[in-house]
Amino acid sequence: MKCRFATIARTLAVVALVAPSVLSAQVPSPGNPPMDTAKRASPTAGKSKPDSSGRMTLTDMKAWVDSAAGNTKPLVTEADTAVPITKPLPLPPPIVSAPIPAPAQTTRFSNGAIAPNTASPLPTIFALGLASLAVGLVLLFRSRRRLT
Amino acid sequence: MRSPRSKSTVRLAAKALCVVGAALVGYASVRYAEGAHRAEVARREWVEQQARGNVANARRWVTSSMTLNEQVAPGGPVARLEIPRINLDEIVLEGVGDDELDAAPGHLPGSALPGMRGNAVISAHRDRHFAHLDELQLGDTIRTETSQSQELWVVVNRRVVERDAPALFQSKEPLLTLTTCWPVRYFGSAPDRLIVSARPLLPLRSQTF
Repeated sequence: MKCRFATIARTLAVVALVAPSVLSAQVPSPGNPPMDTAKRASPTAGKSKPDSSGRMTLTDMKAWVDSAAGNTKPLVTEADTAVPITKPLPLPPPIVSAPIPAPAQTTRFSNGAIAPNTASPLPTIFALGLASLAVGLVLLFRSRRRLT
Repeated sequence: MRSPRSKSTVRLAAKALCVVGAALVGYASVRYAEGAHRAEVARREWVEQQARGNVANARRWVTSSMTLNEQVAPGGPVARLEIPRINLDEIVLEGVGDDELDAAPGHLPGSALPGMRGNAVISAHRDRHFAHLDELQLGDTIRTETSQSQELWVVVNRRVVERDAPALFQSKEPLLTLTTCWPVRYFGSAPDRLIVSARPLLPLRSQTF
């Protein structure tokens, strides 16, 4: 049993030695220098806002279809009320736009291309692996200690 | 008091976590090791290429009008990049795919090579070769070397753009653009890109050697 504990302790020590260099990019640093504000100043630097009309939800479709087809029937007639009935305004046609396509990944230079994708999943994978390994070892260690 | 069944469940979960964690760490480690190996191979290839270029130049087999863009295969070494401010000295590979960027900074195909007229784009991961690119200041110097020329550049601009924003533009004059992810220290997929631009310190010269 002691031998196993020693093995686990050695494994954790090795992991603790290796981890900092890889995880350094994953730890938010308050010491980052503030970047130039060219992002705000340059009109080409900003990303164009997506068309908000593309997010409209379609409601009351039956009423719109009826109004477009001219089948709108007033619920009350002029005989029922002294107040003149105004015709219902037709609903504006719904604007359905195609989903905004994501820009293609830049693998070749072209004028106005986005920067190449330099986001690597490896540090995240390494961090998640280390975390699950550490949790697993701790759980194993504790359960074995209870057994003894 | 836990029942034996729950204890066995905990042990099973612990073992599963260990296996999954070891697999993830192993995968990432192998990829890092592959990248380091490819970088070393690229450096050896670069040295050999330089030696061949020197011999060919001595025999006047190489003319200054040749363009490397037509010769370099994806993954091959195209240039050497030195940034004294951040102690960077790397061989640049052709391409910006995962394999290239795991090993070294990548030259964006279709862009100019450093020292040629046009925009030369070099990208690298923020957690490896360009981990300290954010420390570059305006006025810092960058040195590039291809088989055709050596160039000294001065940083003239740095900006942050969103990852989907147009960031790379053609240039009639020589321009060196370095890109990486921003923020440099960020958990997960960084949302922005850091763009550093540099101009030649001296007027463009075609210095064959």
